[in-house]
Amino acid sequence: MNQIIRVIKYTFQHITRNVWQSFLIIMILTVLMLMGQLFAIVSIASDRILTYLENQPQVTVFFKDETTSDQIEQIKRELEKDSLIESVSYITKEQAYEIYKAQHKNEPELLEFVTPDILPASLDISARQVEYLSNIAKQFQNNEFVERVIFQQDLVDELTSWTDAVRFGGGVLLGVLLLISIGIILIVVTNNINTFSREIEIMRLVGAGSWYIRWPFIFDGVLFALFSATYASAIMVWVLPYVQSFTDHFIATVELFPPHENLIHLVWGYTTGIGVLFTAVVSYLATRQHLKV
Amino acid sequence: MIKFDSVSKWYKRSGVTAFEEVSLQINQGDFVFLIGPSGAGKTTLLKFLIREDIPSEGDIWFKDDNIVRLPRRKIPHLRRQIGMVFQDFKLLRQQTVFENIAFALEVVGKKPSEVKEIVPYLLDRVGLLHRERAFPQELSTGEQQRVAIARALATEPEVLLADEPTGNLDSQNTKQIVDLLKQINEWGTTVIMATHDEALVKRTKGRVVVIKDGRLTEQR
Ligand SMILES: Nc1ncnc2c1ncn2[C@@H]1O[C@H](COP(=O)(O)OP(=O)(O)O)[C@@H](O)[C@H]1O
Ligand SMILES: [Mg+2]
Repeated sequence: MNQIIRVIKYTFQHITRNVWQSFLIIMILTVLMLMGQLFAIVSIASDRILTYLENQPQVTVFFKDETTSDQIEQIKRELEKDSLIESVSYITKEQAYEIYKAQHKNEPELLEFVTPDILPASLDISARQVEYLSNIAKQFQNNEFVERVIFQQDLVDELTSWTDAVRFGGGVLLGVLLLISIGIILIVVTNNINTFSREIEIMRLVGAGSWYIRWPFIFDGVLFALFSATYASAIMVWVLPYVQSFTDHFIATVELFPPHENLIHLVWGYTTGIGVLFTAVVSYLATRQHLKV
Repeated sequence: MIKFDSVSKWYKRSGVTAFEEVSLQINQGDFVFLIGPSGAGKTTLLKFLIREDIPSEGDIWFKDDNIVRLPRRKIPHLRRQIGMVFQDFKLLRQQTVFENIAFALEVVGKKPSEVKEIVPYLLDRVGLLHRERAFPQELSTGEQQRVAIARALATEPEVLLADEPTGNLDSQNTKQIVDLLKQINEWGTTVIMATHDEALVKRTKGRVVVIKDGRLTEQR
């Protein structure tokens, strides 16, 4: 207990002896963490979209308005005879309207001009093997009743290559951010060690153990991480709902983000956990380098 | 209690040999003057004892431990048993006399309540109880050295090393510091004091070891 109080006391001394430096470090680390969070969120969200799409009926066939439901039922029955087809579901104009209404229940302006007639009826077809889907898609492309065929696989492929690019770019960016943070933490810890060289010398002479001397300097970095993680998380949690309502316009069916009650805990928990662990390791390495104990 | 066994020290880069196979035994309760001209190796010899420096060859025994081969993790324990004061005091300038000594007590794990009791006791032993709120630069150099001695006593060491503790002092302050070290010795602590002040040594009782040209000779 005494030791914990001591470490906090010394850390506080280290930070207050260089107030402006501390302030600047926290700001920079906050920005770096925000970018890290953003990257994580984009990765997770795109992953969810992909998983969602991959689990969707893989080919959707939209029918022309004049097609009767008997005709569609007939097509459906024929498809169901095919042993390579897993399932076929028929979505009538009314059902399409209900789905649309549910997706946009918070936006009356979007519902105003939409009636069941303007939404097409469709069949969602999924196959036992993905490869077979392109056959089905081709088969319907020239059908006289069919307005449009959406082949989800195309979308998935396109999205995958897009997210791969985002991830690669983000990964490179993250690597650079990591290097910057390592540099900053090394500078700060080294600087603190130099500022307190007299104290360190005396501690060694009166018989302080190496960890006794080292802890406060490691904790310096940890405390910076703690502050920065908290600021970054606060900003992120404040911004995220806006992003969320924006993305809901496009992909309302996919739950991109965890429910709001958990958001703060999740974002803060992960940011702090990773940030603290990371700075602790880097600070420890800095003390290894510069603390002659 | 302390035994130097054929200790040599040379510096490869400059080719200087500081000691050649010196041996020396110091017993519990001894008061030893280590004398020799500047650059003779007095500081180096004292630093061997707290493992601030290590010999190139030979062994140094403190009780049952060979200091030269002591594992790093045992060094703190050694330094609590062998205290050292320096010519430049090594006090924290932004801290009061009280805080300077409390700092050392904290290091050895004393609780705040114990610190409050022990600091006045240590200051009383060096005759500075009335100056506990002063900052080092508000004290005379003699008083600063006494604070440094009080701090070295914080770990209740069995041996106290003093490296030219009177090097910066006038004759009156010198006498006070030597008297204080004598007193500490009478309370039971083994004291080794390095100095180049031969006149001082002549008028004070105690063993005298001379370092010259890399050799030790017992003078008294
Ligand atoms: N790193 C070093 N390289 C070369 N010579 C050194 C080094 N450190 C100390 N010496 C030499 O060792 C000798 C002993 O120094 P020191 O113990 O400080 O003497 P004293 O305390 O008696 O004045 C000196 O001649 C000094 O120049
Ligand atoms: Mg010297």
